[in-house]
Amino acid sequence: MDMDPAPRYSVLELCRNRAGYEAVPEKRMRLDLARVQATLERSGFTTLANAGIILVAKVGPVEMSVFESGKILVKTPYEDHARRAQAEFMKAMGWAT
Amino acid sequence: MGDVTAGFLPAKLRDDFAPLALPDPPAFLDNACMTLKPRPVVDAVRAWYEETPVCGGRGVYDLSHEVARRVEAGRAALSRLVGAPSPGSVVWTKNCTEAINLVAHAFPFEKGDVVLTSDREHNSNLVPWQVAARRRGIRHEVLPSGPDGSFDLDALDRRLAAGDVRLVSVVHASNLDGATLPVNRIARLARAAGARTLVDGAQAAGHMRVDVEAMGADFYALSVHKMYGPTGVGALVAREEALASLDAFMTGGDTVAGVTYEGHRLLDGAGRFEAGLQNYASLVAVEPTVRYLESIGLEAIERHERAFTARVARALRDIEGVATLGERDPAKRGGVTAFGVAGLDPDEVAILLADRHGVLVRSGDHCAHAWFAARGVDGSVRASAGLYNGADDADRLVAAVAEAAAKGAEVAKGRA
Repeated sequence: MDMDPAPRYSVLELCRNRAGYEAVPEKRMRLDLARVQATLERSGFTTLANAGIILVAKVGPVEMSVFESGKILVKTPYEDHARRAQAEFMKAMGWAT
Repeated sequence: MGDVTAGFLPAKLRDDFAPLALPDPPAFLDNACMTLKPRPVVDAVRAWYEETPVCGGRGVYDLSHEVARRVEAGRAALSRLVGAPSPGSVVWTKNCTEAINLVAHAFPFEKGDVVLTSDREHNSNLVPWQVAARRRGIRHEVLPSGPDGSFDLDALDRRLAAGDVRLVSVVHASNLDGATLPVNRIARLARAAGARTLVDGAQAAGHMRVDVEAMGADFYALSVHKMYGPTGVGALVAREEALASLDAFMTGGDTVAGVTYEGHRLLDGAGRFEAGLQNYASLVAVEPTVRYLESIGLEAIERHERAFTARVARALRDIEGVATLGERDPAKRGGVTAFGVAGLDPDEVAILLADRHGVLVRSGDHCAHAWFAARGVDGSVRASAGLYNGADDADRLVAAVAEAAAKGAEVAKGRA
């Protein structure tokens, strides 16, 4: 995977009735989602689907979608839940600072 | 692009838009939010900063006169473009939302007056009436669509018969699915019942021929930045007597004819509503915006957007797992196509389209949360075309959606 060792993300709230959050890496990256899946599963994430260009996983009750671009969609109406799920993801990927 | 036989505009127009001249340009399909700006518009904004960065109409020096002249040229040009009664009937605002809020705050309502809206309004033509109901004691009612999802003129006629409706406020072309409402007939029915009409023209102005006088609307609100113009400029176009009926909204500098410590005398006409220093950098670019649109022709722009929509609609029908939302007939929805992909969230689709194909669309509720909530639909993907999106962009969109749909089927199995 071609990536910054500790990429920085910004979090954006989505415009929806059923809210969600998008975490966007500040620098371009490209993820191999098969490797991301294996990495996340080792950290206790449950994989729901990996279609090659989108990986859908759960951490606790929260569902997240991971894209090759490194973008993450976290499906929760609560920003603190989204940030916690993102932090879990960063930790699993070894990007926690 | 190059396909000029099916209603598409010539591809060379793309050269007028700097982001499309970059290597590997995107297929920009979020024009319902904001269109790109042609070079004459960008040049006019830059010229204000470089050559005349001063207030318009206040100083006695030539720079100030020049800014005022350009701002008023923009007012006259916009008036001409949308068939306003006169340049003096065009009030500058910062966007369509502010124009609607101006009416919501300044209209001479009495307690109990009814404001009717359709059920497909943008939040900007819904929330102001909900707030006015709370603050001013009016009643806001939503007129449901007919069984086929279109605006129900008979229901409007029946509701108007009660005699308590003071204002009918409806969208001209919907941002959520592009559906175009019969605003001429709505305005005629309202007038016959003694009610005024406000039309939210955010998605229509600059995308089709608009003639406010012929339409018979009392107020027409628009955003110039959705019609290839500079950002931060909108307008409220009003019939003279309708404008005169409005109370003050924001007040202060430039809104008054005279002030003492004891009181003030407000200006007549549009100036009464244009408080404080204006967004001169953008206002001086309105006249070049209008000239650009006129050089292409609004009928040609509308034909182009409909050709794009028809091409996309035909192709999406053949993709399994893709469903269009809202207005079914592509001929009735301008440049907007709203759809969903089975197995994927609209935001997931939009990210895949952007990241993998450079196709920039919008996902979510499109500031029409109420419409989605009432139907139990969790958002949509919206592709909205502009005059620079040709057949190639339509095909690029369709190919990207086809890939997403195939992957959506895989994801759906995992989520089941």
